[in-house]
Amino acid sequence: MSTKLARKGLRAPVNVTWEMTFKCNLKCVHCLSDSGTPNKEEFDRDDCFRLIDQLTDLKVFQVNIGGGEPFIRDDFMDILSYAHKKGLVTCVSTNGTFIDTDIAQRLARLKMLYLQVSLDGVNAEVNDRIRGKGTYKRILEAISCLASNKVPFSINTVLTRLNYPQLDPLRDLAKEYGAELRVSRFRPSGRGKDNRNELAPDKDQLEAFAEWLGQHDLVRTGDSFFCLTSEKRRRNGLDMCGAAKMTCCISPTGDVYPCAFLQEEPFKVGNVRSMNFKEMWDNSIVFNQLRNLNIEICQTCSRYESCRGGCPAMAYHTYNDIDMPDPECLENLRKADLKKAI
Amino acid sequence: METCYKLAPGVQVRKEDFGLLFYKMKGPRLFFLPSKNLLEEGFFQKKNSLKDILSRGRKQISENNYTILHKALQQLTEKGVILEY
Repeated sequence: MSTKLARKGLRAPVNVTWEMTFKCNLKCVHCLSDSGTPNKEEFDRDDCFRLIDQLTDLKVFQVNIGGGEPFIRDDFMDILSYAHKKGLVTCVSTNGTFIDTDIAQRLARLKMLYLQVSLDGVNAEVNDRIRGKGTYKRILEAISCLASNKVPFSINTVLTRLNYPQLDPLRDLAKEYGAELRVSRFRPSGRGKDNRNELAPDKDQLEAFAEWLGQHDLVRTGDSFFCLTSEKRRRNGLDMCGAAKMTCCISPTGDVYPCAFLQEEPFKVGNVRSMNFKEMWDNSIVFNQLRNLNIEICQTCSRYESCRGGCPAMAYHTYNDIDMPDPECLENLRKADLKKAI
Repeated sequence: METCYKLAPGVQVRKEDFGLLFYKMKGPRLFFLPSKNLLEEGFFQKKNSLKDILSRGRKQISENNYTILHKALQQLTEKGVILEY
């Protein structure tokens, strides 16, 4: 029932993905927002406080803060504290390279924070191919620092064909540091577009990963693998795309999009500097289009009621059309194999 | 005495067209209470029982719907979303 109630669209997002800056000290090959250099129009501290005020007035429960690298901002801890003071739960994605003892001790005092540290391999050979030379060592230092200062955190890994063989050791490594492993889905947006062939998991890997996920209840995925999540796991939570229904994305300059992977001109809803956020949420044509997606090809599939065609961002980046099914849907891939065999 | 309810620590609630939406930070998890306009967010902030709030608001509710709502609140209690007191 919850999925049906949410599908109609809520009065406000449950959570908002907030890309706080494009500035980043790393150049990860799969970066969804092609981050590196900051934009001159990015929000300053007061803009950030005003946005937090707007979101809390609407009773948004949580902001997922990413970028770019949020900790690269000198005012980031102030912004975080302000969000918490206003009752907003935060989930911060970081590359870990700015975490030191001082920051870890400050983070340990925050009760409304989820922290995700990105790690894309269990050794330098794999991780550094994705996140850059020397990053494995620095991330491990950050993880160790957080663990020794008793900061709860999860390790976030974007599943790629490079790190797929390392899922078990990654889970073990997370466990060793008292952290959860969260596996995210690779999307060909940002720099991921240019590196899709090298990074996207192949069909066999997706099949095996789906099975692996079914055996590891404690590994988290958010809602990003709804196209291949097992029925057993589906019962653990919402398993459809939440874009425009439960969530949306705000860029470092205040542009509003349905999700972080659809930060493209056709999906730009407006800007919070010049438009009322609630108005955009309620009336945007883009948001309403996503709320009413009806993927024709999937209508006869037994899983359609729960997955609703999968990830529109994957469809857009593959077919330039969000009315198409998720290209990594295992049901469709299996059907295609069957047709070939016949 | 009628049972009163309050939000469990780490839980927030807001009004939606279908009723109330609860957010539990641990997880995080969402819980949906399809109570339409029968309950407001404030129900969980003041010491009110279900009977109090319905009679004060002069809201018409059938015995059957009252039972359903009461049961839904009990389920939310079992899931640690709200607390009885």
